[in-house]
Amino acid sequence: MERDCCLRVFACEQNLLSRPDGSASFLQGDTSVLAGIYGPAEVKVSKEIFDKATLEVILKPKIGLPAVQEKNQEQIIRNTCEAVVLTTLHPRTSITIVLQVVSDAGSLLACCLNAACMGLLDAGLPMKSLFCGVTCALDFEGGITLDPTDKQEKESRALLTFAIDSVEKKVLTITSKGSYSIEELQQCIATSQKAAEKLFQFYRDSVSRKYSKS
Amino acid sequence: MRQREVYRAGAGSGCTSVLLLLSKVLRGDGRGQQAEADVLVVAISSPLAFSLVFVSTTLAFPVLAWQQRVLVLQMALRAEQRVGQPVLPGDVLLTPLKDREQEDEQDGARLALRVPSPTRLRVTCGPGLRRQGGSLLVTRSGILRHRAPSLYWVDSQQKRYVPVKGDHVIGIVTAKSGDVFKVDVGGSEQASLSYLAFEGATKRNRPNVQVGDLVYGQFVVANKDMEPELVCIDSCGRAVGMGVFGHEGLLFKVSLGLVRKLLVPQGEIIQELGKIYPFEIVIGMNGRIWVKAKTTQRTLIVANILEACEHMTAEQRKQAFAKFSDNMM
Repeated sequence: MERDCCLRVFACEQNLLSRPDGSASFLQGDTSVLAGIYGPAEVKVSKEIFDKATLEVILKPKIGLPAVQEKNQEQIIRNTCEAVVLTTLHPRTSITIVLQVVSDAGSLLACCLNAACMGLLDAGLPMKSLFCGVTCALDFEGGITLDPTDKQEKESRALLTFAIDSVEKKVLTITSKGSYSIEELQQCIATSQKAAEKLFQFYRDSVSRKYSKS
Repeated sequence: MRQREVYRAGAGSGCTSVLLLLSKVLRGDGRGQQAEADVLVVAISSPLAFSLVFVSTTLAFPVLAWQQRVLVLQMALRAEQRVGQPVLPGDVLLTPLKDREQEDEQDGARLALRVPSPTRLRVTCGPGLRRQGGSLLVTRSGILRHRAPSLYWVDSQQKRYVPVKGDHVIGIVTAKSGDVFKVDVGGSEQASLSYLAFEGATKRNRPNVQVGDLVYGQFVVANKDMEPELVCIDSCGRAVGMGVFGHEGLLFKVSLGLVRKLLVPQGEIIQELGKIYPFEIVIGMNGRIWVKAKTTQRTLIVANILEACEHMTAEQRKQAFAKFSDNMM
């Protein structure tokens, strides 16, 4: 269980687009996602919610039109963001998160979650805490690989993606594919919580860098 | 909640869960001794988990406690210690303590019947901070700022404007409907501007405002639940610079951070720029700036310089301005 938590190299750039209110690009190994955040902006009357902001996530695949899988991931990201963003502070507005997949080399959903969080940070929207996405792959011997590549994902028995918040390090979202035991799930959670610490430290460093200039 | 954690510890994953629980307890109150006591309470409350907790605590506690203590120190600092440092959403700041000695000195003269004053200071939360129990929760990333005696806020770089009561903004008139104008101020909703809210306007004497005009006004109503409302007069009914403006010139958008930088009370940027050649400028808190100089070329130069100022230090700016004024001569 005391396995090294080794994530791939990750990098981030904030405020790189001029039109959106907040933007970020997040790289995890060869996986890269670009996020643009608009909000709090005007909302369509049909989508207006009287006591909170309407949160919308649009995930654009690298090639072709969004299909069922993309819609499912949009929903997962939306629900995660909804748990963290203080939408009640901006009622009757819309917050739109547009995620463009630049390249997919495994752990795409985790990368999308990270890009969305960095984008929200850049847009300055009120949040209870930060969150990050971590993907774990379980192989047939029961070993855990963090932040798997495309190849590792294909060879794995089960694939679990967690969203973890920064305050209590609790799990916000779990989505999984394949079969695993309860013990394995617990182990995966513990490992990703450790990996999350690293990501949050990275978030902190990149924000410090952003504000060191002013 | 604690009960459930213990159940999980008993159920099998053992060490990890207990460590997690421990770390949580530690982080919760930030004192090692207290945490130890808490763990004991938990252990007693569930005999099943007792042995597990005991073993893992004795083994892992010293190392873990040290790590956690470092973490606690980093996380839950008092607000005054974090001033000037970057903060992130989810950071918890403890309410600042009162300066006891200063207090005592002040009260020294009339000591007799003094009610013991609370040690915690009453704090005013500015943008980016919320009250959470006895502490402050950061909701926005940026630099923590403080102004005496007790105002704290987070200074962040944003692009989207959210109306605030009392702010002066530049709006674009988008529609005339009945007795109000609709004005786009860059927020989530269009602001309304009554035709009576201009200097010298009466029911018979309507102001000459066309769709597409620029107005400089002030928010009298800006509330998250209500439509924002602009006026172009102060409480005495005078325009004091507000109203329709800018039939020539250039309107451009910058970040809200830059606007705040330009409008700092002792701001030097505009004054330094004004020494090079004269120009007219209107700055709205909503990130819009309107500039007009003698020629189009000069107008564009001013706009470009202002945009470039965002990421320059005072030193760099002075150099750039010196170089520029040499070129102009």
